[in-house]
Amino acid sequence: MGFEVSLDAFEGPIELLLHLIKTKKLDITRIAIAEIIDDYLALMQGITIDIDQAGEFLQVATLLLKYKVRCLLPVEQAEDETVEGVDHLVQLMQNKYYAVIADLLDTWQVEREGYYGGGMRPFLVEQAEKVEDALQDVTLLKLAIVFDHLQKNATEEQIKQTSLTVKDLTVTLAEQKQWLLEVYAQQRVYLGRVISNFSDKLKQVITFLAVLECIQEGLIAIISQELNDPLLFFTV
Amino acid sequence: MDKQLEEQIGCLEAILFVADEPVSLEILADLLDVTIQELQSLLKCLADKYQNWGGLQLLQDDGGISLVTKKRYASVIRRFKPERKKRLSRAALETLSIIAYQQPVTRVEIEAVRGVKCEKVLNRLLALGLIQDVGHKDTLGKPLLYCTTKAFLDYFGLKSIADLPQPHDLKL
Repeated sequence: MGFEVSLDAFEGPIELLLHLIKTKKLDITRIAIAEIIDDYLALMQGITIDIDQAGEFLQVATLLLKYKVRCLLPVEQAEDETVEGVDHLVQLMQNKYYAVIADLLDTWQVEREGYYGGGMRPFLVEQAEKVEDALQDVTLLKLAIVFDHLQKNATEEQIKQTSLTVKDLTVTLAEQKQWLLEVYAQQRVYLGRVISNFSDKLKQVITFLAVLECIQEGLIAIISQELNDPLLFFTV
Repeated sequence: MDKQLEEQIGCLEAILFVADEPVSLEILADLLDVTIQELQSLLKCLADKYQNWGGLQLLQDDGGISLVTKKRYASVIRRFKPERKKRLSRAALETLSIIAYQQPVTRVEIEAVRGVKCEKVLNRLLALGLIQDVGHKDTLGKPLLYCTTKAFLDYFGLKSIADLPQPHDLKL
């Protein structure tokens, strides 16, 4: 645009002035916008006005005015703060209100918990009894209820029939760490190679966990970041 | 006590004994073919009978009439059926309060009031039958809307949601 502003607080292109004000590097309250406009109008006296340049000036001047108004009249911000304050108060009141209601419900449930009978059936049992209903519209939640029901009502014989034998661990995590550090001391080896030493899945898992622990303790460094099969270096 | 009155009291007792939930005065009066006033008199007779005898008593609240065990036998019943009653947690009660007053309400709206995640609590309340989902809110993501159930009213001895205290009733 090329219009140069010449004020006590700033001298230079008007675009630079706008930039400095936008980035809050210059205080808009120190800028007399009326003076800028007067200077511009004086400059335009007697010459043919370029409509594009005039439009750009008008746009920049409007923005400057907007920033100055915002700065001089912080009403909007004050309103925001008030609204936030009111919102916060409403939130607090709501929380307090529901806390009081929760207290009341608690009192009622305590009052009624000593009674047993038709109108006082416990809900957990009642839900669990409706296994057939639950299966009509199966959801994960309903399956959980059915499972809970089956567990509670299973006979000892049934439990024995469905029980699983848990194998003892043939090797511990500490033992496997020790083994890794002895076998691969100061060597570079792929994780897949380390794991392939074992055909037993349980041992593979323990070995993998041992490798992770060694990495965490700095006993193994990962040289390549190959996701499928990283190259490990045993630093010890 | 005349024969007919004795029969009516017996009938009333039998209905309450098999009822799964509190029975309203209107239903009882209809079943026994008596007026509400006559029913009140029958209930008083039955209540008097249990006053100094047996392990049962009548419990009348907004939800209706129930035939329940006397409170002083609660400990022995708990020993007999230890798993039967569990109190609702504070989180569950607060969540229920919000649902009761704002229903139908979404999980996000509940969480906005409580300021914490409520998914687990909601699942538990759903499992207990105290709340139910009643459709989807017509907004982004179509979240589920939750409402309280009749089991909620029964559990707390209420006849309707309107029986819950209003804000001006509470001392905050």
